Amino acid sequence: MPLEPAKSILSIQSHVVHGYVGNKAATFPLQCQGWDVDVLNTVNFSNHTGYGSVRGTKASSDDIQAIYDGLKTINCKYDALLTGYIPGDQALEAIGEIGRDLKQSNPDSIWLLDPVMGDEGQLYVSETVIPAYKKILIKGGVDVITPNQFEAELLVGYKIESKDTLRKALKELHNKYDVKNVAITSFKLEEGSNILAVASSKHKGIITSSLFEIPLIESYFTGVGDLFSSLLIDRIFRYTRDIKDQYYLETAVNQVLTIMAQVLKTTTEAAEKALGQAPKSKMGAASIMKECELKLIECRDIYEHTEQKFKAFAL
Amino acid sequence: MTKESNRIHRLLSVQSHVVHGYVGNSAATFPLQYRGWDVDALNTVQFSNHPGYGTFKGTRSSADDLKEIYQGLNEIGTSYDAVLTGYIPGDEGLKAVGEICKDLVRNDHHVKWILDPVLGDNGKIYVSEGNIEMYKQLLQSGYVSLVTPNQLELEVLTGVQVKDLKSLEEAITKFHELYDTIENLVVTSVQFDDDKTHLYSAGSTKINEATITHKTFHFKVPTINASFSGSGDLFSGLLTSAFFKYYDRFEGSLTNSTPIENLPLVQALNEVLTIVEKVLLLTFEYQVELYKQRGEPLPDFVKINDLKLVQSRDFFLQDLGKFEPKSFN
Repeated sequence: MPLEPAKSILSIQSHVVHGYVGNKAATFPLQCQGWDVDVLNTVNFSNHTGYGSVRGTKASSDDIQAIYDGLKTINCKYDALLTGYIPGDQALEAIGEIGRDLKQSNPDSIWLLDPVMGDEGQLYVSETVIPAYKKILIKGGVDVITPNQFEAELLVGYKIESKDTLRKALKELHNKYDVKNVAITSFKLEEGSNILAVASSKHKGIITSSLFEIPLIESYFTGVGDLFSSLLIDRIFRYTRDIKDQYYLETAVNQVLTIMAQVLKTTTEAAEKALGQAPKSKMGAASIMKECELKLIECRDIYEHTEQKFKAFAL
Repeated sequence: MTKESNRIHRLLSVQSHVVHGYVGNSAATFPLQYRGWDVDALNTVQFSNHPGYGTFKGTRSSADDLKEIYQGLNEIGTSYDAVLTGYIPGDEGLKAVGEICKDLVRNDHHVKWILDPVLGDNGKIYVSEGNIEMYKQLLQSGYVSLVTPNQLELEVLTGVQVKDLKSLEEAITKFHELYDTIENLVVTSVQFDDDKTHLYSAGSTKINEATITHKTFHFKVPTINASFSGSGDLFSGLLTSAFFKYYDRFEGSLTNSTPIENLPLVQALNEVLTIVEKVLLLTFEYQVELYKQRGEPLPDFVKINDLKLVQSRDFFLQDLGKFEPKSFN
């Protein structure tokens, strides 16, 4: 039997001892798909902040830089880089440098940056983080971004409320920031309308944007975005090795949404069973929050699935 | 039994974390998750890589950091089936981890503490005298369920030099005299001077009848001409899950007349030896391929820094072992 080719990814995110967010959400699904994941933890917390109480420590930007230097010293090479929630603009700057350095040593590698800033109009990082993300994007090297609607709005600087503004915003993200792939994870054009996911790619100068209607259940759970980006970077890595058509991102996002729907279904059912009712909020008593952790271990058989259960619409 | 039907077990694993490679928590977590365990990884250090590379960068968690995080876990009310401890740097760190684990077991008697007493290997001790004393006290505390020393560690903990099967059995007996509350012991790997082509792995299970006895056994497995960093941590991680699997499966009660091949610990160890052998052979195969690509001859003995853990994932679902357990007499 031929040896499975090794593929390696550096994932720079937070670590929680209990539960599944950040690196804890991203690592296992990637490993299940044959990735050697080098896990660089930006924080070391007991649990995610939705529990109301949390204890632990943050790595300084110097710590992060030193560890990256350590990895370079032993000649680590990467096919991909995944960066998620980064605490503070100093650490963010360090990660920007790491990303550019990594891309320089392997231009074929893929960098997915999840610009974690907030959700539903609420900023949960300091204001200074917004220009820090813009700076990273302007300097180049990022291949994929996965903002939610609010984060996409922060990056372009205006509200995205219609298909026209969405088109304009995507064009700006592709052209001004030179990002080839944009996946917006949850999106609403007007009150009461369906939740959408957006897959938009720029390949050989052509922008192809697709929309998916997705069910609204994910807002109860934490770590959903982190799981999404880890699954997406694997699919993009696979499909950009051998791009057959301009719809590779649409295919990738559709597969990832299909897996996510299954993970969320399993998680919702388990939470309802344990709590006697559907979970209602992202924040709450520890006894409730514990039941709302993504059921990532239970879902271990599905990360390799390639079904596409969602219907794509052209924007 | 299929993996889907298994109940999700929960483990708190207190070990080191390396960004690159597979030692400590980085070796134990993935195989356990793949076998259906929720693993809460409490990292005692975050290093770029293991020190076997010659260089590394990173930071250690202080004893206070560890206690703080444990307090955080208590505040949200986590519960566990088991706690696994491996290499803990420094006396202060070991003291803190000892307190954390004792507290866990004290608050919930169902929690099994699997302790890998990392003191040294291949004739070299790499912890302090104070550290060794602390391990001895922890082993006498009554809170530890399963201990996994290697040959050197067994020798240090018992004062018995192990050079053949007879002295191995003596050391195991001595271990139970000194640490009489320990129910299960696994000596992970032992090598004798007169047989360099095999390793022995031995163990014993306490039988609680009118008089307390121990059923001891050993396995003989072929050696591979290489050293593998992290294999001990992979071993103790897998053994944790196999230990639960075969105790869950075992029906009836353990008696002195239970045949050794029916002992849960024997079956667990057999499965782990079988998996670890496969992982090491695959890792070795990747190394051979690497030398081939470089056009270099393979040395007589290879030092391998990183297990091919992810590429070995299908092996983790192994059920039952292929080796033959033997009793000592």
